[in-house]
Amino acid sequence: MRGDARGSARWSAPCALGFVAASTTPAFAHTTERAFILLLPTGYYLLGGALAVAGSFMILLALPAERLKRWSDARWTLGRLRVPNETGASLASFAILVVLLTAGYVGSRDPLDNPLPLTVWTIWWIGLTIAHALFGNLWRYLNPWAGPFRLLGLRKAPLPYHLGYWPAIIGLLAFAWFELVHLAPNDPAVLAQAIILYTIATWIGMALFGEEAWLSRAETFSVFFSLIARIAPLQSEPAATALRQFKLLIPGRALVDLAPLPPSGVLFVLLTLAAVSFDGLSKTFWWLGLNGINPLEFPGRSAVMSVNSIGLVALWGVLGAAFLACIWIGRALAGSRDPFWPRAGALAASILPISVGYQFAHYLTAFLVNGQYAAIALTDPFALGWFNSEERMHRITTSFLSHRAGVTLIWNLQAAGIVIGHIIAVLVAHLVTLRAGADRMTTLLSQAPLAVLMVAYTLFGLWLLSTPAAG
Amino acid sequence: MTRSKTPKSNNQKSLISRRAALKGLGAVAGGSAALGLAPGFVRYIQVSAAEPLKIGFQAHRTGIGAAYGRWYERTTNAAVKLINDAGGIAGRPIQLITEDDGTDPKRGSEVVEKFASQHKVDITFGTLFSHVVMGSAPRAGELKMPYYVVSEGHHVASGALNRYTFQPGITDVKAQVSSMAPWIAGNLGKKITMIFPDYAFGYDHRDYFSAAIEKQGGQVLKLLPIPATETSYTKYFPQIPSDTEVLYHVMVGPGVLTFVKEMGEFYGSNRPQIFGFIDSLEAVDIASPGLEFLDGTYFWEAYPRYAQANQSEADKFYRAAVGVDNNGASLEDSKDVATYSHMFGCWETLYIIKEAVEASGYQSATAADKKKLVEATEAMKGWKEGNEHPQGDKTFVGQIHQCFGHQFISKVAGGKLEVVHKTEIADGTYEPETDYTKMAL
Repeated sequence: MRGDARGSARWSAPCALGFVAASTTPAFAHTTERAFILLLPTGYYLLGGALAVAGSFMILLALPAERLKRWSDARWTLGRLRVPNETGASLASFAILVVLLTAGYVGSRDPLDNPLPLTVWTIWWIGLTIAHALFGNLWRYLNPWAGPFRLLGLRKAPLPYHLGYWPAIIGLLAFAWFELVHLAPNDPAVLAQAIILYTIATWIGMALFGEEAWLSRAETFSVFFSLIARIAPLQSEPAATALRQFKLLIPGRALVDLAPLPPSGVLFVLLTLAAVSFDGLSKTFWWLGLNGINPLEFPGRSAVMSVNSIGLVALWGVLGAAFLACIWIGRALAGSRDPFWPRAGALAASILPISVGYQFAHYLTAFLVNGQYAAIALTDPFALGWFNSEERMHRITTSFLSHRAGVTLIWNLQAAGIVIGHIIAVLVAHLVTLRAGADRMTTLLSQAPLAVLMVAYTLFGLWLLSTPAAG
Repeated sequence: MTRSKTPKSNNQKSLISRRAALKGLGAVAGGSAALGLAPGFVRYIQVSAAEPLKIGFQAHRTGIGAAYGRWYERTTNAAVKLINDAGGIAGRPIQLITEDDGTDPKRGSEVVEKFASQHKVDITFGTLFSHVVMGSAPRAGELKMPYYVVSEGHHVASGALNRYTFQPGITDVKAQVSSMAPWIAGNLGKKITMIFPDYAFGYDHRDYFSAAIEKQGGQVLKLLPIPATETSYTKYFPQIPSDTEVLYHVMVGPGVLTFVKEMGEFYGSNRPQIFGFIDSLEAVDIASPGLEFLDGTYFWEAYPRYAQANQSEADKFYRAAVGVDNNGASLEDSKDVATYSHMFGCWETLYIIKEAVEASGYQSATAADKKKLVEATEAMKGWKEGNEHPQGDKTFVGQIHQCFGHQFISKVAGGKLEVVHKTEIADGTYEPETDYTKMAL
């Protein structure tokens, strides 16, 4: 907290609206959103969500295993489609990145007027993640680092790669810290600098260990997007040169085929969920109260950097411990002698739909607000008044967060995101267990602890969205 | 031409920071061409060649103040455009450079530093939340950077800040709260119960209003501080003394709608007079479902959100320029309600900056010229209501760097706010608590 008691006592009147839950880095939300949510019967949603997830688990258990396997293997072939050349698409993506970085340095200093922070935090981190969960691996083409790397012919004599997912974990932890804790992740020049540093690190990694190894296990976003893409109902595989065979699957089905992740991969997946969960948790009255901060007088990020740095890692630790404990207890209950980590590595895939459900729910309002700014900034990246941008700025609205109908609709979408994410998670966990050839009782015993965790996490997610929050 | 030398550009600076500023530049230059040899030719030629006056706009673009920041930005851009279209400040177009303070005091201080060292602005202007002002003003003082805030806090007038920090465009909370007492005592009642959040914001109201109502022969029967984390208020209402004539409330935060709902459930139709501060419901539609209980209650407003029957020409002009309709909502979206009781401060402050720059003969971002600007601001006495000051007349006390203006008391009627009283400026003025003019420049 800044200032002496006297200074603090001069807090001005207009803090009224200041309890906006700046729900993400592209921070924007509106105090009235939570005010309206507090009037909604959110307790019923919590109960309903928990019952839906628990019920899904029971229904899946009751279904005959063979029929369920057959049903889950259903696929609808959509046909072959010509796809862009990966190197060419990556080069185009790199060119866009260069324009955005230039705007980061010389464009408007206003983060809601500069296309770099809006593209990174809104279009890319929120929008593209959801797009991956719907349409499969787009990052294969959009990754801006592979194209220039190939063009420069740097892929020679790679060193053997033995680092597991640890570089990706370090990258994701640094990214989450920058997003959630850093004082000014929206500052266009600060962000541009961070991206340039990451780009250089990525190229060094690719040069040392080879493109394939680095992008599949070490480069945070390639790892993240390729995992998230497996949730998507739309999947594809190479068919012939420049062609891919597209098909529709049950959402999450492609995760079942994922080879069990090594321990570092499990920790990476858990961090994806911990980071977005902590974003929500760190805004709650509960967390602020725990840290001695008056939630109606949120002092700003600078005052919570230490506690939030610790909190981010601590939540990852708690979630990790809970997940691994559930696997261990399930294994013990079922009397299984299978090795522990391969089982944990296979079941970790079920965490990913929950991560995406959280990501959707938590960032929905930020996306709806900042998406409007992004649409303007991207058509006028240097704030030169192109396409009538000044007039379009006036049309930006947040009114859907300040009247009951809008807030109710958004709340329902958020709740649906959380619950659907968990139901897909239950399905994935079930199919992974069935694939191991377990009978019904073994499945019940081995999965029950994880199902309890998922029900609890559903409650936690809905609580995060409905509890009073600030800053 | 008012400057002989163009400052070197810094590699991190924007080409142009705001579209509005760019348009303004174009308009000024275009004006010179279009006017040709018309009267004023020389002046406009000077304008076209003039270097922009750089104003650093410290804005809450992210963080808890973002909802306010959006309307501050919109109002500021509207004023900058008008000023530039009319020839700029001292013939120089405004170049507005917006930096986000993240509604954080440390970041606020960094932004002030950036304005001085990277952008080399002439003036810094803008921010609202008091903790950001408190965190930023010391750095502005050290850098000798004129810093005009639109914060409403009592921090400037209290003497806690410095010679370079001003609040000329919006009345401070002490004056706002104090000025309510005469009308409340005379019209609603003298036996008051105050219900307020249990922290500094609530204490301002408790202290200033208690003192002011006692001067009017009134009495605070009961103080009901509510813990900041409270989300249900039913247990507090029975503590309100039954002989309370006026319930004064300033609840804020996500619980505010619940507060109103539960207050309605507790009282029904048999209630005391109820008076609140619009801060509780700034940017919220008064006609929202759940707020029906407020019908017939009273609110302080700094500036009437709803256009009144006797609407001034200045208010019409201001609403049209900012793009706000007669209900205080965006012209583009009638549900997008503005922060109408606060954002006018940006508009008026920019016109005050204009007047101060022109009066001081300010030329460039030198220490000497900045001192002249500070002295010229301190020498001002006030402003008359008009397009540049649509909220109304103001007096300015140079010693404390703070202005005082009229306040409004409005009654909720049919989902709107109708002004029932406009205070005298004298209702809120108080003896100066400091004298910044005696501080070293």
